[in-house]
Amino acid sequence: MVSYGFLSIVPPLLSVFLAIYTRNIIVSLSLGALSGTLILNSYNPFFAIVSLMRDHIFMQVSNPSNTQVIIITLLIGGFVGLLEKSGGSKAFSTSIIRFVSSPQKGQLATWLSGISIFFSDTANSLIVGPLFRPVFKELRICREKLAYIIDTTASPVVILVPVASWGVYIMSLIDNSYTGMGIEADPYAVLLDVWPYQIYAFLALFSVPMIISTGKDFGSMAKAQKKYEKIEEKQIVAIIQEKNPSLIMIILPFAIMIIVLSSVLGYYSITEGVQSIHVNAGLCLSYVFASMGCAFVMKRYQGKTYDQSMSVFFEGAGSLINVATVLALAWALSSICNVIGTGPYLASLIGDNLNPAYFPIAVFLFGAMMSFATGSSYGTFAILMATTLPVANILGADLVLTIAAILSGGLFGDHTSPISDTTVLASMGANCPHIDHVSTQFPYAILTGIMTILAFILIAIYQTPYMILIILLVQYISIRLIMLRWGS
Amino acid sequence: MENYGFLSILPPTLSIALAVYTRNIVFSLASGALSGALIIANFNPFMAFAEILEDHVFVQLAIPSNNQVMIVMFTIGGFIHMLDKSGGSRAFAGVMVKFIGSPVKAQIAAWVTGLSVFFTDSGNALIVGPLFKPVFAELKICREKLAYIIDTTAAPLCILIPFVGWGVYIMSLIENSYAAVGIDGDPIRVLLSVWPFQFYAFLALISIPMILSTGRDFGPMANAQKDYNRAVDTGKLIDVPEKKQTENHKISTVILPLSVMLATMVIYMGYFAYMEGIKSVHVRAGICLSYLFASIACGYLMKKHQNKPYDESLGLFFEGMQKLVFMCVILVLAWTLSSLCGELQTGAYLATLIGDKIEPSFFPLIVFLLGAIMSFATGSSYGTFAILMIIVVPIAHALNAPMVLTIAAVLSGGLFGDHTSPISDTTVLASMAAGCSHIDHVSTQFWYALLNGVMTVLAFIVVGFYQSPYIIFLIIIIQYLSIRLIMKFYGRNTFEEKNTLLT
Repeated sequence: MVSYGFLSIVPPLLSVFLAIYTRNIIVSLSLGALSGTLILNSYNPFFAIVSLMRDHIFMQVSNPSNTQVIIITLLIGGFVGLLEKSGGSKAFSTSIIRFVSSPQKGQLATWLSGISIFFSDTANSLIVGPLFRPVFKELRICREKLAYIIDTTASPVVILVPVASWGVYIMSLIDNSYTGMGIEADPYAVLLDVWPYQIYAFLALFSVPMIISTGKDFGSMAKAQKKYEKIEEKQIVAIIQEKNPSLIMIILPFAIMIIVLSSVLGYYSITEGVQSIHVNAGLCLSYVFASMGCAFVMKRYQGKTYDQSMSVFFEGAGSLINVATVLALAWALSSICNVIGTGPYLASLIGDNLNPAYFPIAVFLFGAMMSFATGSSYGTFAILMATTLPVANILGADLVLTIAAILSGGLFGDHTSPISDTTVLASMGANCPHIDHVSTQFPYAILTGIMTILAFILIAIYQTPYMILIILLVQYISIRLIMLRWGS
Repeated sequence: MENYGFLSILPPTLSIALAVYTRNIVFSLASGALSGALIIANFNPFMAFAEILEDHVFVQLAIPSNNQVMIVMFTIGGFIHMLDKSGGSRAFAGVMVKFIGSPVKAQIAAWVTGLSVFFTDSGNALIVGPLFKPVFAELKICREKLAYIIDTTAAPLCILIPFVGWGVYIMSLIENSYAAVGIDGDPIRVLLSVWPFQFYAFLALISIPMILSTGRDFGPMANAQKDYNRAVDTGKLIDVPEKKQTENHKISTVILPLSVMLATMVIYMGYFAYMEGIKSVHVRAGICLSYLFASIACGYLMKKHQNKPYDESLGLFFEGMQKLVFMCVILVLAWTLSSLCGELQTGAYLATLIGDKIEPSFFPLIVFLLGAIMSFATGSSYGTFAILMIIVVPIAHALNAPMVLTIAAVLSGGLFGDHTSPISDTTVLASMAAGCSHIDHVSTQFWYALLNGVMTVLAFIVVGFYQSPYIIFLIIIIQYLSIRLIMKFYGRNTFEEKNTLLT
């Protein structure tokens, strides 16, 4: 393979830069991807365009797991469309508001629901987001906060569940590189060893209630909230009290969804283990059945014909078509990064002359950089597992910690990156401008990132799984301090 | 592989029956597919659902060509919507209105305009209809005639153009059914060899100038015109020509994007044809790129002439994409059903049932009639194509019937049924756009369409004896003669008096 050296980080950098500058994620992803294919095709624009279409967009979309994600995305869109039309989501928000009277409780409820959807990062953003939008509106909390909460409860939760799709993927990576190094180990056992050291995931998850408990915000989030309140005040708050749709509109579809999903997942966990294709099939089925349930209650209580419900479903699915487009472009960009060797280039920057105890910190930082640049935590995991684990083995660094550092770093970069698919999904779910979501989330994520570095330093000095508890305490205190000083 | 025997024809039969009964193509295809999965999974509903998703829907969608078709469809949808919204196509079609003097010329103009708006089927009716409504009112031609013309120039035209949505859709159906029976065939080549045999489309298109040239009408259409004349004369119907909207949309908003599209397509296809031979993936990439560039050009012009920001154009593009979700769902379900039928070996079983009872060379004729009935009953040519292609291609393969003709028969049959069906969306659209009552449009159009249908049957019979693409010319001559004859015996010249009035 030809090494492109510095050029290999041009496409992701261009995308990130354009995303910030133009605030249009589609344009920036396409131009970034195009720059990548230009480099790969020795600057022949004709071939660059053909290759972008043929070798990257077409290929990525037809990658089975990507296709499945698109199907799920569209199905969720249809389901949410039905819920909105049937008044189910309104019923949900009114009943939620009855229990949660204060903004703080509302945010906590969002956090809890985010955690409860632990099986899929896509579903997390796209279900919790639309459901809680009206709640946030009622409680006068800005959408950026919602986007932040659902983004934070998406991947960090999913990565901590060893039996769901991410866990399976990570285990396969661990298995690969362990066999490459000639170490015999059960990947599942390794993953369980790594589990308590997944510091970024834990810290990110717990930072949400910590921040909420202060009732304050700082940095750009505080500004966004203030701006939101100003706009809200201008609008005459005329909440038209419509006839409240009955709660069955939401309970039945969700009950169906949960039953179908748990029976499918339950069946597979007993028979052959839950692979990501089973999760995806289960999700599809549960949304289809839940939508049917929804159509049924709409027919029963509102006299809507099934034909009408079906077109509502298609409208809803159609409204997520731009999400699917962004996903396709993001995948294309990361496949280009893969071909052009962005990851290995960044990995080659890691020196070998490190104190083995501090090796995980370096890995964490590089993982974060790489994941931020490529917008793909999956890709980062794959590259770093393959490149840094052997180095760690030679240096005599702790393998478990190195894996934990890779996971934390990938997650951290992915969380902050404007070109990451999960970040895009979160802003879509919360229906807030993408760049606003990225910029408001950034300070919070950075705080968690700094805490993670601290944790890895402490662990280098004294290794124990209980370190996470100390760091949580430190994080809590620092959030309190920051809010005291800068919060509003 | 297990032999499912009689059970193997259940899925497509169920789909057809449900399609006719419920008129909901998504529901029927899904139920048919589910029944197939149930059979494969030994009637275990749990496994059937898992099977349908994991082994069929996911697999089918992940097949590169299927996937690319989706992308292409969405891109086309986005562009067409942008073009519609830019108002350019209206301006473009408006040019034709200038060359109108007599009723016959006005109708010919409507026909030519219909032909020139080849890039969109639903847009065709919606663009040409409102444009010619005032013209027809001024020249005292009944609206049913306008509805007939725009209905006839919509679908039959689009089906003949390989690079619009219809072509892409059909190619994908062909590719899938070919794959199911294990025949190698580049869909673009197949489609091109099917092309000269698309009898119904050709005959329908060419029938309009033939009928117009006689200056007469027959059957309900003549009655409609007479009623219209009487109503106008007695003042019962005051059909004031609506004032033409003064639209200052530049015609370039449609010319430039279309030329960008064609240029890109020619360059890409030309390059690949020259370098490595056109493969379907190149066709799809080429189509995709040309529509993308055309959309960019359209966005640029909208910015320049109408001051629409690019963000808004992008929004329009996505809106257009949304409209195609429905069609793509049908496609996915059709692929699924097709792969299930492949697994159940439906085609082979049906072929053994039919056995030697029919002459393979007349198989296309049967397919045509079947397609016409189904499409008439369901009102959806798309759905008919999807279901029939799955069933018929394997049978034709097993019977050794001419494959190209069979596909052509599916297309012609679906088109014919759709054209005559009162519940078809294109028919509804045509009457809406022409502003006439739907039932009147259906009944006046019926006899004209039936004439074409009879001619098509004749064509398939002749082709059964002697297969040559040039048969179409023979049939067109016969059609012309029969139209002349019919008009001579049953036709009435209903425009004559007004011709003199005008001059």
